[in-house]
Parts: sequence; structure tokens; C-alpha cells
Amino acid sequence: MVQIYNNMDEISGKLSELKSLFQFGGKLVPVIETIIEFLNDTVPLIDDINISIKDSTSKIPQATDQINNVNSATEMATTEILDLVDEINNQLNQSELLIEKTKNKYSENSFKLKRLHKLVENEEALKILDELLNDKSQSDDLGNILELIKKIEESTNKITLSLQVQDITSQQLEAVNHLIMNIHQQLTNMLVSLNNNEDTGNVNNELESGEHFDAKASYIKPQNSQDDVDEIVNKQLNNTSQEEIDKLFS
Amino acid sequence: MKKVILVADDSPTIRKFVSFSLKMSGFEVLVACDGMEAAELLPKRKVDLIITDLNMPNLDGFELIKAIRENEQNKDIPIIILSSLNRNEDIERGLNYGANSYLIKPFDPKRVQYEVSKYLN
Repeated sequence: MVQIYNNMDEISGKLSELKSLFQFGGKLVPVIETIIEFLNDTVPLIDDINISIKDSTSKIPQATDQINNVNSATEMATTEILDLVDEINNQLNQSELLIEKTKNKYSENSFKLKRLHKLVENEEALKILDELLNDKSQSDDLGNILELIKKIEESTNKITLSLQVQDITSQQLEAVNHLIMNIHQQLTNMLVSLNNNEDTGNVNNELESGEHFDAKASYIKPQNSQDDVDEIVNKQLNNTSQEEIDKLFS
Repeated sequence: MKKVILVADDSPTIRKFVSFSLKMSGFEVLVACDGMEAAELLPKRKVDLIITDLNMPNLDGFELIKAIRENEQNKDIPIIILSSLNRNEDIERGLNYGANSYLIKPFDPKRVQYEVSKYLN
């Protein structure tokens, strides 16, 4: 009898535990409903994020292509300008040779005029010969033209120097491209994770290895930065005096 | 006979700049678009001097210099580095690998001609 009583007591305890559990469950249901509602709202959002990442990722190669196109176009233009500068320089060299030749001819003619001066006795003819011998304007003009050619050569030299900016910008653009491709790879990895390693379409997740650009390349006047380099080179190799180099650029 | 200079640089404009100023000084210029092409050209042609960039695809300038210095036939060819890298460690590394001179980009063509004349005149 005592045993039955104890069992009843135990059953009553268990029932009251069960009642509390149902009561707690009743309170929990709206919370679970809210969570389910929240998840229902979030899933399409995650899908949207997924699509957006996929979209951005697929557009990145297009951006790098555009940067490469800009690079190629400036490279082509620079090469064309350089070809023209090369042509101008060749023509200037030819002009210099021609003027030197004319100058020599002029000296020869002066010498002949002097000889003729000694042979002529006619006063009128002597007067004309004196005028011709004293007229240095032709020689001066040739000298001036040669000086002008030298100045044009210096300017073409400066043009080639300035055009090196193309190489510097090209390296900087390559650095930007490399950064973009890094982001591309990160996004691709994220996409793979989001899709549980499913196929992510035609997104290329291969990143080109090996950098062959200087991201810090900058266009500064050559002599300034070269002086610092020379100091290190001279310290290490001790083969050229700074005096010699300064003399070259003075 | 004209002295032959090999210019290794991945930038076509720099190759042109350098060739341009060297040809004006009376040298024959060979060009290579990276270290690998330069290394492949060396056994085929007699070269008197090499001007090389450091950042190049396939085989960079450091590796090219190393390969040249390790080759009995080419180990004495003067090498001038022409690079935009101006950090002390790059300069020292280049010289330690066996370069004879180090020029920085952008460069003055007169300076390139001067460096070349130090070894070829």
C-alpha cells in the first residue's frame, strides 16, 4: 500500500513537471515563431548578398581588362611619340652635318676670295670683294642655326625623359590590378563558402602569381633620386667619384 | 665593329628609350622583354654589356644577374641595373648579386651613356 502511494506521488511529481514543461513550451512557441519568421526574411537577403557578390566578382576581370587596355593604349601612344622623336633627332643630325658642310664650304670660299683679292686690280671689283670678305652674317647665321639645333636636341632629350612617366604609371596600374585581383580571389573564396563548394559559374579564382611591378614607382626628377643611389653604390663598390658624376650634369 | 649591348626590360617604352640613347652613341642594341629571353639570347650572341630591369616576369633581374655570374662564359660582362626600385636593400642586393652599376628610373639618357662608356670605352 505504501509502495502504491509512493508511486502515485512520483507520478504526480512527473505530471507537474510535464505541466511546467508545457507551460514553458507555450511561452516558447511565439519566440520560435519569431525566429522562423526572421529566418524566412533573412534567407532571401542572404541570397541577394550571394547574387550581389557573384555579380561583383564577375565584373572584376572586366575592370582589370579596362586597366590593361588603358595601359596598352598609353604604351602604344608613347612608343609612337618616341618613334617621332627618334625621327626628329635623325633629321636634326642630318641637318647638323649639312650645316657643318656648308660652313666648311663658306671657309673655302672665303679663302678663294682672299686669293682673288690679291689678283684683282680693278678698284670697283676690289670694293665688292672687300664687302664680301667683311660680311660675316652668313657664317653667324650658320652658327646660330647650329645652336638652335642643339637646343632642339636638348628639348627632344627632355621629351624622352618625360615620357618615362608612362613606365611609372604602367607599374602603378599593374599594382592596382594586382590589388583588384586579390579582392577578386577573396570574393571568389567567399562565394565558394556560401555555396557550399558548389560551382560558382565562370568566376576565375586563379590569381596570377609573381609580381613584376614596383607598386612604389614614382616619377621624380632623375638626378635627385640617382644621387641617393650613387651614394650607396659608391659605398659598396667605391668605383666612381661623385665629382665625376656632378661634372657630367653641371 | 660596333659593341653590342643587351637591354632586358618588360616595358617596351623603356626598351625603346634605352635603345634610342645607346644607338645614338654608336652601339648595337639587342632587346629582351624579360630575364628569360635575355638568358636565352646570351649563348647565341656575343654581348659586351647588359642593362637590366629588376621587376620582370618569368625571370627577374636578380635571377638573371645570378645566372650570368654563374656562367663561366658570361661572368665578366658588365651589368648595369636600371630599375625604379630605390630601396637600399634592393640596391645592395643587386650589387651583391654582381651588378656593376645601378641606375634609377626615370633616368637621364646622358647618365646611361656615361655608365656604358665607363665599361666600353
